[in-house]
Amino acid sequence: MQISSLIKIPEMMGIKRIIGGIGVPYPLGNPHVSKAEEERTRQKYVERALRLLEQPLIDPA
Amino acid sequence: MSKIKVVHYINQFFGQTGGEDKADTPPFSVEGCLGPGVLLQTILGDRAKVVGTVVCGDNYFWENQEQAKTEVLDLLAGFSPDLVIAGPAFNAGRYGPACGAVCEMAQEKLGIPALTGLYKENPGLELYRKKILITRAGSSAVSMKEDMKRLAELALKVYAKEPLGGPDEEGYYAHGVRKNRFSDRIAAVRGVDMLCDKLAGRPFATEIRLPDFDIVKPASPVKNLSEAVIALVTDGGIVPKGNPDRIKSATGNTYGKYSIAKMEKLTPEEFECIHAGLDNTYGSEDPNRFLPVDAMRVLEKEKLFGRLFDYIYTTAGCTVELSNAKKMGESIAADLHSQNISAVILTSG
Amino acid sequence: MNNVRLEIGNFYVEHVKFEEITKLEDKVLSVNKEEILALIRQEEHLSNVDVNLVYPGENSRIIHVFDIIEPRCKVGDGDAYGGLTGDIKFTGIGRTNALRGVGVVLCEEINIPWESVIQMGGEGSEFSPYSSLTHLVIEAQPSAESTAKDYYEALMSAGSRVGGYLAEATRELEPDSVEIYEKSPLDAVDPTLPRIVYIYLIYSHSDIRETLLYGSRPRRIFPTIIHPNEVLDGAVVTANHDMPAGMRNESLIVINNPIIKELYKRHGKTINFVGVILSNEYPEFSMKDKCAAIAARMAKWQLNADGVILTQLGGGHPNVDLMLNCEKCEELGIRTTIVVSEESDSEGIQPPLVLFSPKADAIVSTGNTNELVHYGPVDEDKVFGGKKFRRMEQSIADPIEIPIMMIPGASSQIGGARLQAVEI
Repeated sequence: MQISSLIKIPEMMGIKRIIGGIGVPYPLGNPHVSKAEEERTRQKYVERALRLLEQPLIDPA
Repeated sequence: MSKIKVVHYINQFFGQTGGEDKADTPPFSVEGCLGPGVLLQTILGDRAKVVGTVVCGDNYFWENQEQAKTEVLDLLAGFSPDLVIAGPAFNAGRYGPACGAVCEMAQEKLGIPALTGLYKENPGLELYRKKILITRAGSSAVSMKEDMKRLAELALKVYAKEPLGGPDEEGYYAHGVRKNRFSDRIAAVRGVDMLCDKLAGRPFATEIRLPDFDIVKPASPVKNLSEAVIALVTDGGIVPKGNPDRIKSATGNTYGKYSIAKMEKLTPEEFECIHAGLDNTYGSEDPNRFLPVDAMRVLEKEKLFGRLFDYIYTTAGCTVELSNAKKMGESIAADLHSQNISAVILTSG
Repeated sequence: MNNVRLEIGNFYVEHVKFEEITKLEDKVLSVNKEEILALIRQEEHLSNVDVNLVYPGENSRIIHVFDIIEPRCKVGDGDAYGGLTGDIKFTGIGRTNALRGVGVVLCEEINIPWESVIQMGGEGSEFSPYSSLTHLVIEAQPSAESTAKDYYEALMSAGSRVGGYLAEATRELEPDSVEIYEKSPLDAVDPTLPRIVYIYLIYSHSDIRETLLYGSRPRRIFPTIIHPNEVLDGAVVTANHDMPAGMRNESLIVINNPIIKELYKRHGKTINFVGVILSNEYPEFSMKDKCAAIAARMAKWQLNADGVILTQLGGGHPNVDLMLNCEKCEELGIRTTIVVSEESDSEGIQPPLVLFSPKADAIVSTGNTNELVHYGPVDEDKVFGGKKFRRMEQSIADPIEIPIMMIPGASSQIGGARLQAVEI
């Protein structure tokens, strides 16, 4: 699957398993919050990503 | 009025030297035409004369690169041609690119038009279509007659500097370059015409096509996440500090494969971000923002998934040419396949 | 009676000259120059006004073109430029007279950082459709205390005043031809004909990057249905004042929206032209997405569209609106076609659009706006609109290379020109 801050682009390429990243220079980061919160958020995103890998696609094109 | 002087380039097989066993034949030339050159001359008729033919073994050409090219070029130049026609090479995997290379050389070094004909899957097509005009050809010499005719006729047109019709009309492969011209109808009329055709199920031709992004069918879901081996890949340009393999920050065509075995996370002492298209500081401060090794280790311990693969793959996806991006992707995928990786998380800015 | 009927009376003008009395006779338009100057001078934000006549086919050029207005007046009641003034009582109905073959050109003199050049004759003149018209060229500078916004608005206002004044010459006369635009939901159209909706994307972002709608600024509107007659009678006015010509779209072509005219031509015969939806190209992605969804639903749920044709105004991010509208329509079972200008590079190598969608399989090109055109030299004393180029070093009568984007009308985003780009 792909994590990308500009999700229209992988969508354009026909990629089905996508999660929107947080920001272009930090798709899985956030310099504006505390380190601890950033790590928690990253973990959440990665867990979502892993679960997405198990998902069957709704319309396998 | 002097006739246009054409030189024909062919390989050892069409040059009647031999088959595979003669693929290492060094280049030689003969006056007039040889093999399919006879057909070429018939098609050209009075309009041009095949003054000479240059023959080179396919293996010789590719195994002796620069030397072979120089030798072929000298032989071509020896005829003082106005126009070079190579092949057609149908689907031949070495002959096709050789024809492409010969045409490119003739164009650049001799300053004359040079064309060849290839089958749509011939590797020479992607390599040379932006640099030279390549006409359509079938997959084998079965279609030699029509393919040679298409090639010869277009070559003459190009030589005469006649304005060309579109790729479909003239039978050549589009370079992928946009060029303006005037239509017979204003865009509004063409738009309504196209919509009506589309609604009626009639054929229509879009004037701007989706670039060939090569849509890949998505893989089936991971069957058992708790046993899966997951690899991390990024185009955010995270590399070992100092960028030992000199991966380019932009327009690159290489990627790195680096070990993260036993690492609990990526540290700014060991890694940095070199992507030219975004603010590097955040990725360099904390490379896990692109390659979330830290989060993966936590979830690995919790047994959400089987194992984090020992290597990460990285490149800087800034203004990379599409063809290079494709090659890198294919290479990484092949490597991952050979290691029985279950799935990949790819991160991008 | 539910008939919405607009008549456009066409008056074809073959020659224009300055004379004592303003009148139209035997296709010759005579114009009192002093009265024109007096009209323009009523604008407090304009000073140093000059007007000249520029003829098609001459070795001449107009630079710093800001807008081109078609002279019109409403016979009977109403304002022919209701989209600008807000007086829309009779916009879309009744009789409007139009002088054809004449343009009122406004030139701006405050250094908008683009060129905008119409070559009236010789090499390169075939690219602007306006090179075949006779133009009354108005040059004016801003007054001392005027802001850019004041100046732009004064130019637009002056243009409509002068246009109205010229068209008054037709009030008592019989037109050479009459175009009739009549469409109502009660029309008995063959139900098997495909139902077509035009989604007209507009650009309303700021005071100087604006599309006026009924004289107001539609900054935060949701998609709305507008009657095509209203568009053809001036309800929509493009006011992208500091954009290059290719993204600005002149008033003359906007009031003659070619997509609407073509759909009207076929209405009841080969299609059922069911309506026009206007939608703003918002700056935020979330609103672009939302409006695309709303417009698609409106087309399907309220107008039962089979097909939609889409155009954009402006460039770059509006490609996103186009693709989103296309996708949302296709997802609802509406087949779509897009008409769009391209922004590759001067060599035509870079991709032509910023965003593509696999669902956008039917696109008409209005040309690569970055391709360069060669304009031959013109007579030194026949350049109107300014004294020097903004971005080019040549002097104003010299031969120049100019991108399509800076030639008014060349790559009309609403489909009014024949230029297209093909793949080679």
